[in-house]
Amino acid sequence: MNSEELSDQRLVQRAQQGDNRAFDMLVLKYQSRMANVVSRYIKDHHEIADVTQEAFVKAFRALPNFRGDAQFYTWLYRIAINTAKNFLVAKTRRPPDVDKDIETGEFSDVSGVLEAEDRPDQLLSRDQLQAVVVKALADLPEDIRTALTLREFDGLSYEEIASIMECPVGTVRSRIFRGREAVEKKIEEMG
Amino acid sequence: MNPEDKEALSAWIDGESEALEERRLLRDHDARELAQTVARWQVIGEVIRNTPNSSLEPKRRRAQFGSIQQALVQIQTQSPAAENSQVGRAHAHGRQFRWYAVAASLTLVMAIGALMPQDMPSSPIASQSNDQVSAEIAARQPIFVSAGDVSSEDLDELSLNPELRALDEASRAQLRAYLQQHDQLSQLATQQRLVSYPRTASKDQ
Repeated sequence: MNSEELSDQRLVQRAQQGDNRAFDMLVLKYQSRMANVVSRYIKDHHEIADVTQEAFVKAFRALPNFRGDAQFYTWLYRIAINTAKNFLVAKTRRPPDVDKDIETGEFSDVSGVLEAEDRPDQLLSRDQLQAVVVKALADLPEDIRTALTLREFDGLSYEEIASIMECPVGTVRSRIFRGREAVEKKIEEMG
Repeated sequence: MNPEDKEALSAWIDGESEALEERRLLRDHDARELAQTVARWQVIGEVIRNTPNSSLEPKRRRAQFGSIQQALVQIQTQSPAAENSQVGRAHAHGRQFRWYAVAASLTLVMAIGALMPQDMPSSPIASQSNDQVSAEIAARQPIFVSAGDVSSEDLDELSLNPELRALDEASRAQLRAYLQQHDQLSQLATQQRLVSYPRTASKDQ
């Protein structure tokens, strides 16, 4: 069992003992990944958010039955996929999202309305956010950028990064943190 | 949050923190307080991996975290009766599957017994016990369960609930053991027609 699995296991045990803060931490950690999993099945942003939430609620309810046979994330992942599939099945049973205008007798497709986050101003802010992060990463000192990239892009453990960069694990940990903090400040300035 | 805790948080999201640091984070900080920082760090990771989650910018991630938390709080404040009924339903499912397994095992054992050559004299005690067991099982559950009788919900419950799954597997293992035992006894050409079944035998006694 690697350190990440151990860390999750500790939090799961605490959550199973009734420590809700521990489950909150697990939500915090996996919320984004769960949303990504759900987005493979569902495209609407609001629905992704709803299904992700439902998946966490299901996980919370089923947590007493989780015995650690599989990794926590694998378990969570399965719940997310099942919830997304069930949602799609339920959706096909619902009547189509189409309204008929009584006056004109014409049909208008409600689902075709632009999502709030697809509006040009929102798209711009998303692109801006990405540009800010890329710029901030480029401005980082070489050793910090390398440590952060090896972690985020290559998914290496701190020990592996330490071995590649020929420095102590503590230094790797500190560099990754400093990198994140520097980029975070740039995002914060953006508003 | 002090820099030391923030560094511990950074290590935690990478799964590289120490147990003691985790406990300190849990003790001193609320997850809501950490949500903003974590959301921004996750965005950094996604940009580096070139997989930005377009639906969840930092602000939206925080908002979503808040709504998940709210939903979880709602569950906890739900009436304990609802929770109990859910637990009761799971136990009922467990009982149901256990009886299906028992009924199936006895039916199979009886069927094998009936197919055996009839030249051996049957024990009156064994046949009496057989009748009693059949009557008891018939009174409790239908012996034959067609696949159509098991709803997809039950199957979902079975596949999702490890307790039920373990129970089901245990019952299957028990059935296999009985069949094997019966097979061995049949091969030895003993007078025994039915394998005694501990649970029902103890009830008979």
